[in-house]
Amino acid sequence: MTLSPDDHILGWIGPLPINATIAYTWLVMAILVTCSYLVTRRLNDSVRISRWQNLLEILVSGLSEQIRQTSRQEPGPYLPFVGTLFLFIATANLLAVVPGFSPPTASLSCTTALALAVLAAVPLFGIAQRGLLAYLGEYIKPSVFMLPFNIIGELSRTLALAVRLYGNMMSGSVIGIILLGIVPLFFPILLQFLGLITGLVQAYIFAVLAMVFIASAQAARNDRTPNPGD
Amino acid sequence: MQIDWLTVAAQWINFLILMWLLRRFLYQPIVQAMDKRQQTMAANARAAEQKMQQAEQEADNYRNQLAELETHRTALMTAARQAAENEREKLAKQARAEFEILSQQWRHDLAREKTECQNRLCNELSRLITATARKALQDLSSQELEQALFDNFLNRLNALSTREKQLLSASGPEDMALASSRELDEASRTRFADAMKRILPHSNVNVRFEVLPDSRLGLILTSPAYTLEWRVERYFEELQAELDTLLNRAASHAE
Repeated sequence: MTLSPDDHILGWIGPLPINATIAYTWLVMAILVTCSYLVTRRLNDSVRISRWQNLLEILVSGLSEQIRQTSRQEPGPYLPFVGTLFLFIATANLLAVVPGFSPPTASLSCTTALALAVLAAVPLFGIAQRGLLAYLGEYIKPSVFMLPFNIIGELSRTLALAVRLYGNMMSGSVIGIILLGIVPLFFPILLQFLGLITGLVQAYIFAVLAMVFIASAQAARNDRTPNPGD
Repeated sequence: MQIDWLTVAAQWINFLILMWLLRRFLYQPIVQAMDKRQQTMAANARAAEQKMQQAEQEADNYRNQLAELETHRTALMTAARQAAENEREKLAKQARAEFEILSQQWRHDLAREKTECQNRLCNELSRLITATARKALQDLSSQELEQALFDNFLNRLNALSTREKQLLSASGPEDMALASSRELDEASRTRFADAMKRILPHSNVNVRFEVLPDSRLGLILTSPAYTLEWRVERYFEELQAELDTLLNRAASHAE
């Protein structure tokens, strides 16, 4: 039994192996980009809009609102990063019900890549907002002795992000396979639907946690910013 | 459970590409469309608010104009009523004046017609009375009415007082004239001349004999100072006076 789609090599591009994780990632990317292109090529800014545009607007405005509530900041700079995390993970997880589709999020390599993206995004947004020295200064607060713990904290939460998503998705697939062997009828279908909910929840958790990490890196500055109402 | 770092790197790049693509094809267009719609709706709301304010202002203007028109209309109506009242009074006064004129004219015409009628009646009566008298006289005395009148006239002439005779002779006999309803025959003229000689023995009597223009029954001796006459109109005038009295009394009873 192949637990990771990384091991499922579909072909080669030169010396690079194209495994199922990369291939299905491309599929998910193609679906997302194509759907987006097809809808947004004929955008209407009047009151009468198409149902697909309406769907995308609800999606984007929902993401923006979620980011705004989580970070208490304008969602503009964070929307592409956090939104892409959510859309990619949610689409990949939802496509898990399609027979033959192996969700890339069930690959530890993929979730690690996403966690590393968050790991890189947190300091990038922090530095962009506050400057390099101010951001790095946060690592030695409240004392310089906290520097190792802060670094470990950064790494551990990245690891937690990667392993949480991987574990949930991989376990869903594994449980589905095991239940097929034990109870071949009906019950796996219910579990697949449960997997859909789990997949959406995991996508939401991943995106919100990423936003929380990014926002927390800027919290110190925001805390020191005098309130205009004071 | 191993991490394939090549796959990790590929997925990392895939994620960045996907982020760029979605930013290009999803987030930016959708956010721009929503922002533009929001701006359009805000602009529409502002325009609607401006139009509402404008409409309210125009409504106020129209209300003010209506009030002015109402005031103007009331003033016009009052003036028109006053003018109509003046015109009515003027027309009524004019009508009363015209009525008065017509009434006067009618009364005048009535009086004239009454006079004419009375005249005609008098003429007819005089003709009838004269004819009746003439016939009665002829039946009773086998004498012409004119002859009887002439005899009576001669009697009156003979009975003149001295004063009347002086007046008659004062102007001279050459200006005397005797007018009769019929032309007198020669015998009558001679009798008249004899009578004049007896009355005025010292005067040279020369009388002109004439015929009365309206052929009424009567005899008139005229001189510049004195006139002796007998005319049947005298009787008719009295009769007409009595008739007028009777008619006026009847008219007053009718009113």
